[in-house]
Amino acid sequence: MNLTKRIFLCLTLTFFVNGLTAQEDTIVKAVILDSTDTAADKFYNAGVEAFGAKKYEEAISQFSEAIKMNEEFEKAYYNRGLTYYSLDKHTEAISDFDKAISLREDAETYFKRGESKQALNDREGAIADYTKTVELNANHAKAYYNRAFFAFSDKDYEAAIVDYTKAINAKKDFAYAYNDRASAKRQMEDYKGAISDYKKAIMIDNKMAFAHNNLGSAKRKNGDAKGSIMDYSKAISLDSKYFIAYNNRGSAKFDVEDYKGAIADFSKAIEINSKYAYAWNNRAAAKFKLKDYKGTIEDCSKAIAIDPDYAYAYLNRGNAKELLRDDKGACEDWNKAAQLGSEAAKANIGICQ
Amino acid sequence: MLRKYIAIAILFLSTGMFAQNVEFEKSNFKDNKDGFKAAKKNIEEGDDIYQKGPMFFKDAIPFYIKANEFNPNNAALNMRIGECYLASIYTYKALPFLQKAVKLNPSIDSYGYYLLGKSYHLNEQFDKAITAYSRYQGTAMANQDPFVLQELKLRISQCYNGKKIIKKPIRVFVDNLGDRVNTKYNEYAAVISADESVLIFTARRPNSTGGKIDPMLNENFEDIYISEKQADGTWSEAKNMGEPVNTNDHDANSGLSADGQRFLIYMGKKGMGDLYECLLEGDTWGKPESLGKNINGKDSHEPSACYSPDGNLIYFVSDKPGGYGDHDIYISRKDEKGKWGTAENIGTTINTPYSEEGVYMHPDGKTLYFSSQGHNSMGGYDIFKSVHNAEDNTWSTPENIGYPVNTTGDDVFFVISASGRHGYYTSISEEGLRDLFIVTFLGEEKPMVLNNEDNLLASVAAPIKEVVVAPVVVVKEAQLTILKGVISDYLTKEVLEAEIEIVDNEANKVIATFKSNSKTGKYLVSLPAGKNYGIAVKKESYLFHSENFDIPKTAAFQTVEKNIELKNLAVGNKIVLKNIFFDLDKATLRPESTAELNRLIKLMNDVPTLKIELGGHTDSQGSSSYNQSLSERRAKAVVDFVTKTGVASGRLVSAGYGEEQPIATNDTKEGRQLNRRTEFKILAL
Repeated sequence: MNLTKRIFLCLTLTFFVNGLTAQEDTIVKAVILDSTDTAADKFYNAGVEAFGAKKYEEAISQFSEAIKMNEEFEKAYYNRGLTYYSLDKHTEAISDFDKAISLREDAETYFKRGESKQALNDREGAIADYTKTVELNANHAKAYYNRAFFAFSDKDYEAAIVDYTKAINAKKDFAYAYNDRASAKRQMEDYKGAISDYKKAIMIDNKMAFAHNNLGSAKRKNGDAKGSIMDYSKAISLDSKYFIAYNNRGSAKFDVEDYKGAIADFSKAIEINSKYAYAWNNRAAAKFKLKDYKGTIEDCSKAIAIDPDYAYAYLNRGNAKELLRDDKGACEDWNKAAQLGSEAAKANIGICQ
Repeated sequence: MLRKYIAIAILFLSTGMFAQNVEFEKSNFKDNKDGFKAAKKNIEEGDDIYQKGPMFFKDAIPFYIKANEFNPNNAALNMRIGECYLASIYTYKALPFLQKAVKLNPSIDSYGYYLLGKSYHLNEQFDKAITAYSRYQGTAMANQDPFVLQELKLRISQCYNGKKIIKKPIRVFVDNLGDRVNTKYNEYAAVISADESVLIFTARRPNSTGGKIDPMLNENFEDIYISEKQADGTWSEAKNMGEPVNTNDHDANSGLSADGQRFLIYMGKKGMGDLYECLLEGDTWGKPESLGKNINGKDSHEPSACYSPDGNLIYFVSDKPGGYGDHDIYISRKDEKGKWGTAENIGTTINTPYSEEGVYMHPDGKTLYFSSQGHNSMGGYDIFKSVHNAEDNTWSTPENIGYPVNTTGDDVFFVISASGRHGYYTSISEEGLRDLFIVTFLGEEKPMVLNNEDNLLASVAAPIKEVVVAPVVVVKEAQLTILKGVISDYLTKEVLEAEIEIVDNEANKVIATFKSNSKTGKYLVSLPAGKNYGIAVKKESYLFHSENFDIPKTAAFQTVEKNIELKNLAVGNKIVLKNIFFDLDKATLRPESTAELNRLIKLMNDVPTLKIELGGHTDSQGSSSYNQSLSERRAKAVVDFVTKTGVASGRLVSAGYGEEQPIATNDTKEGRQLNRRTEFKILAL
């Protein structure tokens, strides 16, 4: 192949798979070299082509050949690292990125190494690499975004918000960063702030079912259960299999005392995912409100069968048994819930003596 | 055609609106003279009974009903029937007659509106009741009758209370206690022991002691009955308690002690109605003894009473002079000689210008239940509760315990179990009889807990769970520990009648003394939360047994079953002194140990030949040499304390065993606590 000019092939990699909406950001740009002066360059270009065709094993062997011929071929190390990354071979990937960095300090290489370290749960290593990335490129939105994830996981929401904000500043249409900053605000009980950010995320990309769902939950948390129903419905319309949104909409209907509507939604969640213990438990709660105590017991039992350590399903089942005059059964359930750490159950068992 | 229909409709309407009042006059019944005669006769017979007074009104009803069947459109007769039903247990039957009376004759005697108001009130139609009462209020004002005006003011305010209370019903189950307790005769005024194992109540059944018939009610005289909770949780067939508890006169029970070993009786035969106390010896109830002149006034009526859980106080109802209303609640304290002291009015937080009845102190020692016509009663007597604050000796504002336990009728004689879960009270059965019912309090609705999660992070597939903390529903009344069990001989296992002394360790004061039952060995004590209790079980020629219960103020209700075996005074026998306390890691005796040490000194003085070893034991925390030394020093501290009081030093030896003789595991906090102990062993007698 005779290439006379530089061609950029955009290789899109999915960073983490959300399962709901594919990541749309272009992360990596691999380069086909137009000079094929050396044999090393030829192998390198063959590697890039193989990578583009998702022939990863072949790509690795081509890049390896290139490296054999030129031990200081930085881009070949970087691209072989990238290929290993695509194969989830992160230890090998990191080794190649190390070498590439030793030959040239590059923000993108630090970033990719950070992602590999993150994949290997090397939290400190990943954070250090993302930090180095933004030192070399203060506008590296993804590096801020990825670093924020660790702060979020540590429940250091303030720090997460700082990084999400930097990510947004670097990339004004960074919908994911808006969504995640909203979530950090929500965790800090700043529901108004969360609602505003979720709305911005949706303005940028209104096809993200999870963002509509999250907006609904922030509204519900803010006391607007009625308003949340609309958002959950939008999420469901975008993803008809979104059982989490059904479960949430059912809960919002429960809040507004529409117990029949709630039961319909929980049933739908169960239909989509029959192993979803939350929906079984929640449907039990709605049945309880309609005084269907037998139904409550059946649904709680199902939730318990799925998750034998589900404290609140025991607590709820005990409440139904009490009203069916089965004090012994109620006490057994409350005792179990108390053993599993429910303080409410501990208060209930006072009557069991 | 249409015009014709309209005309007919108007005709019907006007007939309905202006139904005629038909007087019982011959001229109105020319075509049925015999029927008229019979109806008049029925009215006369009814009137004869009616003249005897309200207690007899119910017996007049059948005659008036017959007359009413003949002429249903007489306002005065309808009013009379309504009045009679209101005086019977079938109060709910009064309303249609009274409604008809005022409809037939809107300018009927305004007393008819009072009766109608009462009937609406009982039927929970509060707005209509207020309107009817107000109509009668005008007449009362014109007559300047202060008694009636006060009564109407009370009734109208009760209607307003009722409107509020009924909107927020409490969650309860109400169950009839069943045919082993209830019969086709009247049963009422149940009392229970703290653990709900004994139920005592009053009934009017055939074959009552003395066999008399109450001429006022045409019913049997009252006797007292007892039923016991069986192993399967059901009540045993209720038995007449027989003589000497029941006499030829009316005998009605009142308060039962927490352990079911003593109870209070109301006897109508002496004075204006007095209170007596009965004690259980083994399985025999003793002769009722009067509570004395400080409680029973010469010219006053004392209808009900109860004990405080420690048995040192009696709360009773009396109409003695100097009260704030008709009947008030009083207290009397037991003096050192065991006599009941001067009665004190419990005060205006509880007592109202109206009447209080049916007093019951919960086993927690601070929550008083009583019935009152005042406060925010919704009609008649309602049941209230008020909590005593021991620090400043005040009572909380009485709280209406709520609908449907309280009704617009009289709600009295209510008792509640130690756990706060069950109440026992009297209500009207479907057959129109007074029966005993159990109320199960469910408390506020227990919130159901929902769980949710969201995809909070756009680039992470796993959803994040929402942290949900289920709200805790706290049962406020049940802050006490019920300690119960059987006391027996360690070797022979024979049950024993022993003395149980409850000591407030911090105040170093004996709070109460009880005895276990001589036939069953059973005991029960109620320990309200908030104290460090030392419990000593004593019997002559036995080593005393000690227990410690340190119950924080916030502790929830619990029942602890503890069977206690007393050991003989014999060489080699040993006991643990559970109420000896040391400062942390020191051999300094804490002041809370005083009562236990005094018991030990008394035993040494009572049995002069006794020689003992006091052994110190530790848990396994810390080095063994440190523990050895600590145990030695602690044992010696006890020996030194005892010998300082004059007990010959040669009679006591101290020994430190360190961590060498554990009696429980050292792996748990509870086990380690048991291992840290002071033991006492008999060396010689």
